[in-house]
Amino acid sequence: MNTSAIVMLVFAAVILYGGLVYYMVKAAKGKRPKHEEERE
Amino acid sequence: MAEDRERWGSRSSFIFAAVGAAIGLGNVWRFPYITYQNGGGAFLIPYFIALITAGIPLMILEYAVGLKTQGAPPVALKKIWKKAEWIGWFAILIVFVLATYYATIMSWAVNYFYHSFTLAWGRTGPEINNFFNNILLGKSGSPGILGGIQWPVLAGLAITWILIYLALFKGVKTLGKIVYFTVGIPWLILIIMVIRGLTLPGAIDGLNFYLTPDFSVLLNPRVWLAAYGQIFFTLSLAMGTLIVYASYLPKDSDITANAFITSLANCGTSFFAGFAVFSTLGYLAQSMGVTVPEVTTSGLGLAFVTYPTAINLLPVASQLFGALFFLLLLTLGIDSAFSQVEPVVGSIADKWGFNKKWVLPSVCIFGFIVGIPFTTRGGFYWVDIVDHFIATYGLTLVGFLECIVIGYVFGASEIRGYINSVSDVRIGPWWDVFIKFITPIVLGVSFVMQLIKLIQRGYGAYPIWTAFTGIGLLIVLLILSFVFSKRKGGNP
Repeated sequence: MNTSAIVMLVFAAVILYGGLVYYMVKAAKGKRPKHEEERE
Repeated sequence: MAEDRERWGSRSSFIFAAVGAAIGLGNVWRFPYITYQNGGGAFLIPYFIALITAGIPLMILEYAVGLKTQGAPPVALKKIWKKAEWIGWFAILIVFVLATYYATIMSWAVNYFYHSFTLAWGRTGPEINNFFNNILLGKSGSPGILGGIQWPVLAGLAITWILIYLALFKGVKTLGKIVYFTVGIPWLILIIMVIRGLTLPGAIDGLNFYLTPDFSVLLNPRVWLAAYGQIFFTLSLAMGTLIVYASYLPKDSDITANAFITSLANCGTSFFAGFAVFSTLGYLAQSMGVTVPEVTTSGLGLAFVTYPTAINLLPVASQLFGALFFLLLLTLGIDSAFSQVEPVVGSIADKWGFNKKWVLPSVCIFGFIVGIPFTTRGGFYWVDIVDHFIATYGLTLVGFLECIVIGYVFGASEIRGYINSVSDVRIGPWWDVFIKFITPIVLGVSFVMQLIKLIQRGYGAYPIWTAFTGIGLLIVLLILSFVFSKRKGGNP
């Protein structure tokens, strides 16, 4: 692959998958009581 | 009324349903074809900018509107501003038309599922192209010639609408359970397709086409509008889906985290699916002795040419895997299709107080009838034309209007205060800037510039009258949305 394609690949992976993991961890650590678990 | 409203079984049901609404044919069918049509890597820059400037901010906005008002789009927007009910109806009419041609794409997948047991689509690139264009669709050569119904496509359409009905008639709690199944399996199958694609000779050429950015396209409004249209389509934005889904959530649900997770998971799936398609395209280009952009002219049918090629090239159990793959397309399609039909049913039930038991089958039967022209020999061209006008122009117009109503009439900072009051992940004033300025300016400018170009040159290689038909369709939907908003409701 050419260099600019590799740069785009890394950029996209960081934004999409890095962002996803970051927000999933943040949501899992949320302090707010989770009403839905209470409902279950 | 709010107390009687249906609720999701759990937070994870909602996340799965929202991801399910977002992960659909938009990722594995539409994203690769729009990327291919707009120059591969050239398209990715506007695509990511559209995700950050419109996708995520508007998803937060729609969740907030649904959660705050606990109503379907027309009722929800009416609660925000009395004069905005028509915008909700416009979104509902847009998504209804979208569902009718979307079901046609699914009917192609139904047919491919059937043919996968014998790999009837052929072995080589030209054979596979011929199967899709001439045998399955029997293309008439022009949108002006409908040329009779393709019966297998019509049968597939009937099966699709029955599946949508069955998936929806039990209500949102069952929906939550269905999506656990329909969201998980597609990812497993996609991983196998990507591995097969990447190990083919010539795959690197396809990946270079897919990933190499071209900054010169940033001056082309068509690419910008296509990128925003794709983000709206894939995230189910401006369709009312997310407003309805959020209205089934308890009132203190975490909006921001849900929005970030669903939008990033969705676009991550699209980006991943792109590797399966473009690596296979690289292989096809090498085996046909052409460049990647020359492999197929039928952009809309790209997925139906590249995936069967990759399936043929699997070392073992091609038939079984083919059947599994098209089952994947169907389950993905059903996720998205019921997310398109649900807002229509919810809006009619909310406005006039009709029983959903009767509204749902009526909408499904009407949707099937409206979709029949797409099953004709000229239907392929009309799927392409209607998709262009509904997804690119219709959805961006609704998105633009939502930004104006929330940003200026209701007040962006006021709704941000509400969002932060219920969310763990807080958003800052950057959100107001996106909703009030950046998103509406980019959408408005590229919409107007592209519309002028469209009136002058038409859409693609089609006759100019098809462009006016597309514009006419949008005008009719606008008029109908005003009419519906003026009709007295039975359930205010």
